Amino acid sequence: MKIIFLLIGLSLLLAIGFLISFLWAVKSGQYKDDYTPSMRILHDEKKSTNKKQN
Amino acid sequence: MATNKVEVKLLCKHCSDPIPGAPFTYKEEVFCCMGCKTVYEVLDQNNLCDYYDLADQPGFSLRSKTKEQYEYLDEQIIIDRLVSPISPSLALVILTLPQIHCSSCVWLLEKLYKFHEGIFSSKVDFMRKEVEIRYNPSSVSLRRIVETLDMLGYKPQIDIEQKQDRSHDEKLKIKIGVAGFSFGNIMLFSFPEYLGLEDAYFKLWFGYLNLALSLPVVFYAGSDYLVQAWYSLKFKTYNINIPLALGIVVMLLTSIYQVTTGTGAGYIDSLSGLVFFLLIGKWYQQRSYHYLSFERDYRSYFPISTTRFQNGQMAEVSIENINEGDELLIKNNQIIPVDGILVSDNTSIDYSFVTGEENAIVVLQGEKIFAGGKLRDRSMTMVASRKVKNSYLVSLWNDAAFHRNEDVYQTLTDRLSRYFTLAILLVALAGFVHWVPASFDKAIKAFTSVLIVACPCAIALTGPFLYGNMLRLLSRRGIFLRNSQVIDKAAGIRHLVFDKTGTVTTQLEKELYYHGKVFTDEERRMVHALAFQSVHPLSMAIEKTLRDSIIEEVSNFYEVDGKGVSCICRGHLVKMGSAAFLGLPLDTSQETRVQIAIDNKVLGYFVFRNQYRDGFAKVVTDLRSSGMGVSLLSGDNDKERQRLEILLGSEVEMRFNHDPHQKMHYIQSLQQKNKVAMVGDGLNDSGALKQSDLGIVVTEGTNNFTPASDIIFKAEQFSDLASFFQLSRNAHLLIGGAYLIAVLYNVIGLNYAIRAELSPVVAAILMPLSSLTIVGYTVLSSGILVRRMLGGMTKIIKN
Repeated sequence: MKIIFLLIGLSLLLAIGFLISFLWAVKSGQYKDDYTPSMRILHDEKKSTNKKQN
Repeated sequence: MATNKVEVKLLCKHCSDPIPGAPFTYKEEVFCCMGCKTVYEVLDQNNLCDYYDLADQPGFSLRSKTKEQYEYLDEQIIIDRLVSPISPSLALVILTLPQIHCSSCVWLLEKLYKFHEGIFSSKVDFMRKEVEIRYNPSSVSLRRIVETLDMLGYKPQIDIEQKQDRSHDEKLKIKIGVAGFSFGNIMLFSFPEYLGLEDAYFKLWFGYLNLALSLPVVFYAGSDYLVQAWYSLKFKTYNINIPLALGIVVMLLTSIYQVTTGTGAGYIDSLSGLVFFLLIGKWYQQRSYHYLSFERDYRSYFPISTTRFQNGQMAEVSIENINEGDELLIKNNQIIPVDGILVSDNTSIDYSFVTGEENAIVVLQGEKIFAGGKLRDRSMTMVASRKVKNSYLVSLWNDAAFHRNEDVYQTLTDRLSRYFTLAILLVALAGFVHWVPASFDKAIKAFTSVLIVACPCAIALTGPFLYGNMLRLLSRRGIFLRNSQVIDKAAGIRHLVFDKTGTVTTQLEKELYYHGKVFTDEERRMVHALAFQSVHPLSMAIEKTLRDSIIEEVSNFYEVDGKGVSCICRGHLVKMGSAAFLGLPLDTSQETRVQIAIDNKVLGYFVFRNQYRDGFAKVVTDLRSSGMGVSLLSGDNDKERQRLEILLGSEVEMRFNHDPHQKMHYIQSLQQKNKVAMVGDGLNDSGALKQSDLGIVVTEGTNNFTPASDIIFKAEQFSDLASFFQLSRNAHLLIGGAYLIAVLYNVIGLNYAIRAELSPVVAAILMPLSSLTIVGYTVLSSGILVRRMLGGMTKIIKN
């Protein structure tokens, strides 16, 4: 059963890894704007602009 | 509108408006004005015409656009306030563009690098209506960037006073992350305890591990509760933080004792869960509408700079640097920044925003003019007689009401928490006294258990979730609250004061009456064609009433700003404007009249009357029947008194001819008896709004200037005003219900605690369960309440 201490240590390390990546995500502003990316993703880069709707 | 579009042959490529007269053309496209054409040309040259395909009608009409002066953006002081330099060749500026409204806007504004080499990147934040631009200040100036944006139809709203602090929001998210991380892991390491495994090794190690994990929870994530509790004890303002901090501290100490002595696992899981849930509640009620501001003062209404004559030369000067005796040039539609004396010819000035008088006032040469008025005539020159900060209107901000310390508002929860704390302490003491004769250990255990289990987590969560949810639902219906305390404040209001002009009357739509010879179809079309050419509000109103499927072509269009317009249509000379413009005797009536003449023969005139907002009378009746006092204040003369008395009944107190200072004092006098709310719209109400216990602003567009306030009501929702107050009172009932649930859980918990039998497992189950029940109850019940009071979701309003 001693092995459980190693596993606990590893799982804690993993969890700390997730925590650090969360902190990084907040610091780098990824949670600042959660709306605009949904609009941005729909824009395709087009080479020719022949499509006319009206 | 639909029938309109069939007959009108040409729609502007840029703004999709019908084109009056001869179109401007570029390649094969047609445009309504030079501005729209320029935008298209620029986009075409940069291969950015996808703009028109990404969303319907992305462009704004630029017909009414006036040329802006941005010379002041070359001044280093202003640049320093707006721009954050990162390195010598990289600077960052965040500009607010209220026109951002669709995905095409996002697309175009993120292509700014195509316009100037010096612009590296631009990033739009749609909800905030902001664009963040990184550029090289040595190759492109801030002024160039702003001018480019302005030319594209996105006029930045430049406010040098405000630089928002956003670090707070970030900090809370990090705290939630840390608390969540610890909570999750502590639960995991508590499993042996939950399952009743009796392994001494595990107990020891997991106990210390949990203790270590709980330290960041208490001293980082939960530090605010401890610090605030300390301050509220120090200043004797009792609030909910005191019992919370008491619970946190007792839980931590008990846990440390139990783990170090090996007598138990402590309450570390409950402790971290408590902090985690509290932080989630805090986050939930934090809702800011980034594009709305509840803090604006006169500075965001006044221009940043104006034109000054000095040594025979014109130069832009920022308004803070205007001195007495400076000669200034004010252009049509500009706002007068400072008190002074008119030097040029007679002119007319619109003071509606400053005094509440609706009609523009004629000012004679040599007469005084006051800051805040809007010039409704050709350019004028004036001599400043004071500095800006000493101007009559601005002096309002020097009044005591703007400097009194906002005393800490005590919500219902805070007021109750005092008794709550007292009650728990008494129960805990009773438990202690009861057990002392039998066993001191048990006495201590009963004492701490009571404090732990009675920790008012459920009560502390009620407000954030109930009000937070209401805030969210109300904002979707066009009612924006400064924070969640506002609902609590609104429940205590007993008297409501309305401002008249612009608040209970509509700003855009006025009732139009026509007096005179009835138009023939042909005449009607000619007058319409003339009105269509002008962007003056009165012309636009006339255009709207006369609108027809055919728009006649006109020539020789001529406009004297603020006076009238004329043109040749179908070979006739059509004229429209003030009596003076048509060469008629001076108009002595108090009304706003627009005279119409064809071939110099007067046909008649339009009269403009204020239109009261839909449901105004009903709002007043509803408010009065719910026991609230109502009065009406106006800076205008009392010509509307009779009409208002018929509309509202004679019991509503009405006061006319009140200047901004008098309005504020009137509120003060009412506050001797009652809690007073003020409903206003303009600068002239700023003092009254600030002085009142609850300031409500009615606005017809969220981009408009709104003075500092607690609530911003969109004009369309004005008829919901009475329901809003009813809603705030009903919210108190819901809070009562939530407290009942909390008390029920407490009775169960205390039952264990007082017998000194509270095991960590029971605490670990009771606490999250009661919190979740409260969250579910508050969110559901407030949703139902808002729906019942303000109608279903059919009225969703974006922006």
